[in-house]
Amino acid sequence: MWSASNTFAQKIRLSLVTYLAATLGVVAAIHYASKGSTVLTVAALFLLVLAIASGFMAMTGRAQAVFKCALIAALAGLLLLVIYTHLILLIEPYWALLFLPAVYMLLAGWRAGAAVLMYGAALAPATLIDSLQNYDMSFVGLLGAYVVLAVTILTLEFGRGEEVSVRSTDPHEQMLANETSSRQAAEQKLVQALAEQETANKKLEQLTKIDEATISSIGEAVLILGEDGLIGRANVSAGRILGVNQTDLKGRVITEYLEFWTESGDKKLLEAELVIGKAIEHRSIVEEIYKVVRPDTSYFYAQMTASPLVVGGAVFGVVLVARDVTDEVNLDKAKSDFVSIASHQLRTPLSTINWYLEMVLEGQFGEVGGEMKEFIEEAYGASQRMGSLIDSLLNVSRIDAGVFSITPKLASLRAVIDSVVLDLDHRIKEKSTKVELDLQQEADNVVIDSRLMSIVFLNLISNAVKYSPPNSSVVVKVFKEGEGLKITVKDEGMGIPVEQQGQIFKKLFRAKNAVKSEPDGTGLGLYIVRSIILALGGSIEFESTQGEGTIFSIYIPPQEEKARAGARELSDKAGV
Amino acid sequence: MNDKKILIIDDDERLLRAYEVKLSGMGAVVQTESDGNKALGAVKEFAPDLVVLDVLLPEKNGWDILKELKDDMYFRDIPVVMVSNIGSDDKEVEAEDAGAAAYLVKSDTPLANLSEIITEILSKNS
Repeated sequence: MWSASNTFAQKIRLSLVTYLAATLGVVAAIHYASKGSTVLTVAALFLLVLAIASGFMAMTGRAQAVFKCALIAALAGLLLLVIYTHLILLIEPYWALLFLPAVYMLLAGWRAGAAVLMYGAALAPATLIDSLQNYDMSFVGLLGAYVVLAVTILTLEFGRGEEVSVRSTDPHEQMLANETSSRQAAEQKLVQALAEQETANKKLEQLTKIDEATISSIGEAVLILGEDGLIGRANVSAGRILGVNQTDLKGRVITEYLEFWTESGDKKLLEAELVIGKAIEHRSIVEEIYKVVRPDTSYFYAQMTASPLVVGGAVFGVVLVARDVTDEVNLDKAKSDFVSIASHQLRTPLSTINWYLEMVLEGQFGEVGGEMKEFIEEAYGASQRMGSLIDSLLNVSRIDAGVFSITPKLASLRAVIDSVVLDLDHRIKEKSTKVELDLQQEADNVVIDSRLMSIVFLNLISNAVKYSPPNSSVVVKVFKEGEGLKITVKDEGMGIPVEQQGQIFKKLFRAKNAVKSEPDGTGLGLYIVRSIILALGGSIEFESTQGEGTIFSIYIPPQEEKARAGARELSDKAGV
Repeated sequence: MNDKKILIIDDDERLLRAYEVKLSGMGAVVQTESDGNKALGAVKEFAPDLVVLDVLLPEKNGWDILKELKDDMYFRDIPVVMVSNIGSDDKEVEAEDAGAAAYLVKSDTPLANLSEIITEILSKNS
């Protein structure tokens, strides 16, 4: 109660000062207007504006700003009168006397200094009126101003005077006086603190309103959940997107109204399997796509992002943002389905060609020999390569469409490489290539997508064998580097011409010497390899000297055991 | 493969001919069916030792036929080899889960390999 009344008194004082400044402004404006001086009328109006501004700031509680403003107003008034009265200040010595204590008070940091200075300034029009003698209106206005000013100064100075006047020689009384003085100082501080608190509260209230308006205007569904999974807040879009009344969501668990399925729609998820629980558990942002079934049984695909609310190391909730990605998911499915159907359609006639040629070569319809057999074998080989080419194109389409999946699982890279080497056995033996494997223990147990790595090794090792002379060596190394894996494939082959080294990862590009040596390549293998490595977050580089050989170096960062959203796997039959 | 009865369900007439020539040549009794809707009737009528079943069939797909066979107490023990030109590890696992004996990608599997796999399955079941 005490603080409230005190703040009120302070406001009264501020209002009085403002009133004074405003009065000066009005009077001066009327006076100069009647004298026909435009410049000075404008200056007086400026004084008036400053006074009104200080009044406004007094009401909004910015005390310091009020005093600054009132001070500027008073100085402006003084300057105005000094100019108008032809430097009357210099010929009226008592002015200077009044200014001295005012300046002293200002330097000492006393708030009342400003008011005293204004008092001095207010005396200037008195002098002016004395000298002009015929401006009754100005006189009445200024007289009122003097009275107000005197009251203001008295009010401002009252407390201070009281503090000073109670000094006594009695130690008890002095102690009491000191205590009183400290208490008053503390009370003053408290009042100030409470005023600041009030201002801060208002600001906070305003910020909260801005926050609420911002969350409401977001197009995505935004839900704020407690650690217990109960919804604390939901924005308007949440109600619209989820098909549940916004107010009904509060205090409920999200699975009470909605069903969450995997993106493929084959598994219904429990509450604990959603991003919310994962975000709390891992204390990190988790993002997944779900098929969400609304209460009215309609469904949509939602990209759900859960961010844990961590304060001082403790998780006390989750911000859940759900974006409707139905169009994107459908487009991805359409792209992926198109590629699958196209691939199926291309493979179907190929199966007939393969099987028929195979039966002819087996002698199912009579013995085949000589040039005829040779020609049919060529056709059969070409048909096999066509199959491989279709797989490569299928992979490239999926890479370009961004619809291939990454499924890192605990696997043996050694087993992957062994299988690739076995697949290439015929070609390796044909060229008497020596394939050396130098695999560290890390290769036996690593979280990685073994299907994708199989494509990588198949392309790199088959290239190494294909573009190397007979009896040469190919060395495959896998070792740990930092947290990730380093893989190198080194050959003693023809190398890549320096001028073409910048292009070897381009789709369909084939180096001149490679085309000459192996006309059947597709130019897709290294493009696919690089795309896979980049998708895994890794990097690939090479060093090559023409006529000496090439070494490809791959770095793969540690992989998390989870699937990247993607509708289709890449085919590992491609690239041979 | 002597006198083993094999039912081939595929909508590609050219491939049906290849199956027939190859498997008959190996001593099997082969019957073919290109209409998915008639597949179950053909199984009842022919009572095969093994079924080769294409996945993509018009009207009724191979997965549905496989499910019907595996749900039927009289037919559930007949081994089914699923064939398709849609290839992926997922499909192999899916086929195994659905009770198929094997899943093969036609364009990647020489007819000789297919015949070997069929022979192996039949010898296991005999």
